[in-house]
Amino acid sequence: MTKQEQVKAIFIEEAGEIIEKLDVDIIRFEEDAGNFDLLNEIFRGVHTLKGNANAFGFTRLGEFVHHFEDVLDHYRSTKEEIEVCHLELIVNSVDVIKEVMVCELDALPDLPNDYAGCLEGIKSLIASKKGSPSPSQSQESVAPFADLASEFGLECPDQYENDMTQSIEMMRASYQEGMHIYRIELSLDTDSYKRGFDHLIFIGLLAEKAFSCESFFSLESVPTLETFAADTNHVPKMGIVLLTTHSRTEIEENFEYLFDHEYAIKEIESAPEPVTIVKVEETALPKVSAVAKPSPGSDTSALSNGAKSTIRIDTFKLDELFDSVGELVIAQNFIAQNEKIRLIEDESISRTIETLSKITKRIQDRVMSLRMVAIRDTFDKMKRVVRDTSKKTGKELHLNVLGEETEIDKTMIDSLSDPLIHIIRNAIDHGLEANAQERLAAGKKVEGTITLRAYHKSGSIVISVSDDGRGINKEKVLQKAIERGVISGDENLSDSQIFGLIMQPGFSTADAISDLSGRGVGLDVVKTSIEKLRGKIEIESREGEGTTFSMVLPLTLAIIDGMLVQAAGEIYIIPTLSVVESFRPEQDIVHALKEKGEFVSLRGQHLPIIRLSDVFSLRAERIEPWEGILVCVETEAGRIAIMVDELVGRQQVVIKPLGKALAKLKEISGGAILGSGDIALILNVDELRPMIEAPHAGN
Amino acid sequence: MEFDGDALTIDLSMSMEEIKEFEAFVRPRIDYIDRIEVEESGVLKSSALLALLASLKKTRRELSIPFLEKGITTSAAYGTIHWICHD
Repeated sequence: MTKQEQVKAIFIEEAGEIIEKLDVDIIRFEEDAGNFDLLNEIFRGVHTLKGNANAFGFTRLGEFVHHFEDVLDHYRSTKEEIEVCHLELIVNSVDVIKEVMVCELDALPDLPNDYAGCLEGIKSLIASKKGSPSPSQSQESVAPFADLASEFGLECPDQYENDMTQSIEMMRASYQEGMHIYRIELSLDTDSYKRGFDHLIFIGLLAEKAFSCESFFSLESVPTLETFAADTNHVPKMGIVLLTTHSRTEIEENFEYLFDHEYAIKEIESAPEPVTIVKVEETALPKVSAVAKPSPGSDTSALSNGAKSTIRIDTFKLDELFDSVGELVIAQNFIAQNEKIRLIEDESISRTIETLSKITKRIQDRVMSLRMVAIRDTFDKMKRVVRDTSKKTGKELHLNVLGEETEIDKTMIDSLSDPLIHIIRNAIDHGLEANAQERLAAGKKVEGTITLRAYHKSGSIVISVSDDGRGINKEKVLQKAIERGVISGDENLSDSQIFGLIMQPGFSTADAISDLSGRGVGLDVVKTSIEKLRGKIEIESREGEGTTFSMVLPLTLAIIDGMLVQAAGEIYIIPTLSVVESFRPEQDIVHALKEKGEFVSLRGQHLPIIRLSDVFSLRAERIEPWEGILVCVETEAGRIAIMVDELVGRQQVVIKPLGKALAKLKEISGGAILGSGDIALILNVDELRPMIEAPHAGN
Repeated sequence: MEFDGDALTIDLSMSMEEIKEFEAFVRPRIDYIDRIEVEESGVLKSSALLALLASLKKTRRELSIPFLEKGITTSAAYGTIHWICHD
């Protein structure tokens, strides 16, 4: 990838981030339309997006965003209250921007259906607004740029100056280390065309070297046709704002054939002066932006020492680092547990090993924390989903968001959005009562409540979506499951197993299918997606009171909390998330059925016993279940009891992928290197039990 | 360059020679032209075209030049070009 392509990739990524943020901010603004600070922030994002789009030839996006920016600029400068219908247009415009961005990236010839209509709406809005400007407000909007204008020796800031200054501000927002921002003024003589110099030649040369290039022509002094001559330069002044990695000398080389008085180059500081901002927002990603964002009221004294900075790191490098730290932990454990080393009776060696252990743990924790991001951004996106679904279904509702600070593995968060969207839509569309009358009849408020919550529970992360709707009708679910042949009807299913049926493929109890949910394809996909993250979904529901879908996820995808067990001399790891309990059974609760295998009766349930020695064809003396230990685990098909010789302990292990040969063993999901240097296999408990019929009672 | 009734359509990527031809064409006919459309499939090649359009607009204020009123053009070659036209 060339440097130019790398920069383009960065800009595209940034454009994606800006659009993502716009999507969230616009909903926040819709809720708080008087928040002009927020509107300013939205405007800044849109302006940067415009620059990025145009710099890389995304002209369709650039044009749309340009007009959208005008609308935002009008409202932010006049502080005029935004009418509801116009607010809707603004929200829809963000949707169009998202779609156009996709068209641009995929180089699709067709634009989104709403593009033309929305653009027309924006143009009409701005045209209607421009018809009634408020002079005092216009003056106010110019004022902030007066200082910069005077910096260039201009007595009165005009529109040209204002535009240039805004452009500089936006370049500053896109600034990254190693870049330069230049303001270039061209005052070409009237005979410049005849000498072969056109403004466009210089702009073209500069744009080739720039990540972003904006030019501003003032056509104020162009005369009428009476004194006009096409080959005479009638543009005495124009300005260029450039964001580039090139040095000033390299930029100056472009003007070597011009007279000294025909050009002026000024390098702009990357941060505004005087600096009133110091607080650098800690980003959720393991990156640090080089852009200090102004924060009113923040403490300037922190600028020199206290300001945090961030750098953008390729996640691949982060994964490599994480892997190396995993190796370090294993090596450290090996030293700590090595018998020969432990036999050395030397205090200094013991202390050194202890120190090494502490440092290793600290490094491991810090590297782990690099991957963790707050779930806030994902929750913010869900506000939009709730809003749109509420509008589509016509249901009034309130969204409660709890635990936004909860941190989760970055890799996981990317895969979490789609399942979460589906569950939320499902909760609104089917969880809540169909209409206000139904809610009132049930003694509830007209406004439904959806609660989105993230929290830690027993070393896992739980993300739950609750509604205060009608709850799941167990009878209806059972009836449907029997009709579809999902169950036979003879089973003695627990509540959670019954609710779990709604996540079977093709299962839907919805009487009517909407475009939001109820197609019977979805919850099974949600379940699969969560299981891919080594998590599970739990459903709790009370009829008439509501339903909660909880996604229980491991803290990270790279480390697993496992129960180490021994069977036939081999160590295996059972993910703790699946473990319900372990016990040594009494002889009288163990049963054997011909052609059905062994079962253990546990509080009325009959759990099939799975012998690891049978699964992995291990040569071992066959012992009876009551001579070993049974580990009860929750699987897709219900609970099973894994028979092991003994429990070794509980430990967090770094997951290592298996080679091609072992990867074919569906009963194993990965491997881990233990402190002793031994390798242990991680069990895929869902595959330990084939999809057999539900357990039957009796000997 | 196409002249259809009251509307004149020109190409954005006119060279200086073409701009001069356009100027020569439009001077005697300015009173008969209501609208000048700019075909934006190409890229602006000379700032002289912007200046000429601005001059035409100053000469006959009722002349409609949507491209000039737009105030912006973007291209991969030049980035974003803005202009301010005081009429």
